[in-house]
Amino acid sequence: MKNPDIFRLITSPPVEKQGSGEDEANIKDIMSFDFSEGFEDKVLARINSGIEVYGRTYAIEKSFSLAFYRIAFTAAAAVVILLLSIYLKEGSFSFDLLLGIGDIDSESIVCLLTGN
Amino acid sequence: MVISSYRESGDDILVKATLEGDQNAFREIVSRYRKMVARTVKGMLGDTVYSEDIGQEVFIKLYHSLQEFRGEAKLSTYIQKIAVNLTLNEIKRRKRFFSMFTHKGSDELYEYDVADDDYAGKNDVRELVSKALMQIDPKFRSIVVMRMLQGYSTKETSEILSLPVGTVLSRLSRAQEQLREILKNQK
Repeated sequence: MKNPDIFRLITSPPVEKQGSGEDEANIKDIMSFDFSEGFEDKVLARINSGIEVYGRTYAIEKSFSLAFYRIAFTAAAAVVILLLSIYLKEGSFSFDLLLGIGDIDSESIVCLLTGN
Repeated sequence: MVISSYRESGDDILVKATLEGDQNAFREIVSRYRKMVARTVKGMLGDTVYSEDIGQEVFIKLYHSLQEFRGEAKLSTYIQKIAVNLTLNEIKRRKRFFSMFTHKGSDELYEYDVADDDYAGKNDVRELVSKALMQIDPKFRSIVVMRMLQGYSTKETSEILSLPVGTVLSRLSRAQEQLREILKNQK
C-alpha cells in the first residue's frame, strides 16, 4: 500500500464500521505493533515477584518529582518568611532593605568598596 | 481440572482458570491480546522502551483486577480500557515530569526515541503515521487509535474511552483534520 492510500484511509471522514473490511485489514496490517520476545514471561515474572505496578524507572522519576516540589515549596516558604521578617522589623519594604543595606548610607558603601 | 493447552479455550474459561490460580491460562490471555495492547500503547506513546513497560503494566493490572471483571463486556474491551487509561496517565505523567526539567514537550522526546529505535526505516508508512499521531493532542490520538487503528466502531470507542458518542465523532473529525494537515506534505 502506497503512502497516499494509508493517509487517505487514516484521514477519511468517519463512517460507521470504517469502510470496507479490506481497508480495515490494511490499516491493521500496516499499523501492527508487538512487544519484544518473551513478553509473557516478563509479565508473569513481574506478577510473581510482586513488583508494584509503577516499576523502578518510575520510582526514580517519582522521587525526582517529589524532591523538586519539596525544594520549590521550601524556597517559596523561605522567601515569604524573609519578606515578613523584614516588614515586621523595618515596618516597610524597599529594595535596599531586601538587600540588607537599608541603614547604610551611600558614603559608607563607597568607603566599604574602595577601602578609603 | 488440568488443561495442558488453552489455545482453543474461550476467554471466560481463561478468566475462570486464572482466578483459580492457573498462570498458564493467564499466559494465554497475554499471548492472545499482546498485539492488541501493543497497537494501543505504541500507537499512543510511540514505539519506545516505555511502551513495553506500560504494556506489562496493563497485564499486571488486569491480573490483579480480574476478580472485578464480571463478564458483562468482552474481555478485549476490558483490557482496552486498562490500556487506554494507563497510557493516558503515562502521557500526563511524562508531560508533567519533562515540563519541570526541559522546554521540550514529552512528545518531542518520544520522537527522538522513535528515531533511535530499530523502528526507524523498518516501515516508512508506519513511521510517518506514528510520527503524525505523536503530533496531535493525546485525547484526539486515543480516538484515532481506537477508531482507525484498532477498527472499533464509534459506539465501542465511546464505551472504551467512557465518552459520549458525539464527543467521539467531533474529536475524530478534528483529529483527522489535524492529521490531514500534518500528512499532506508526506505524500
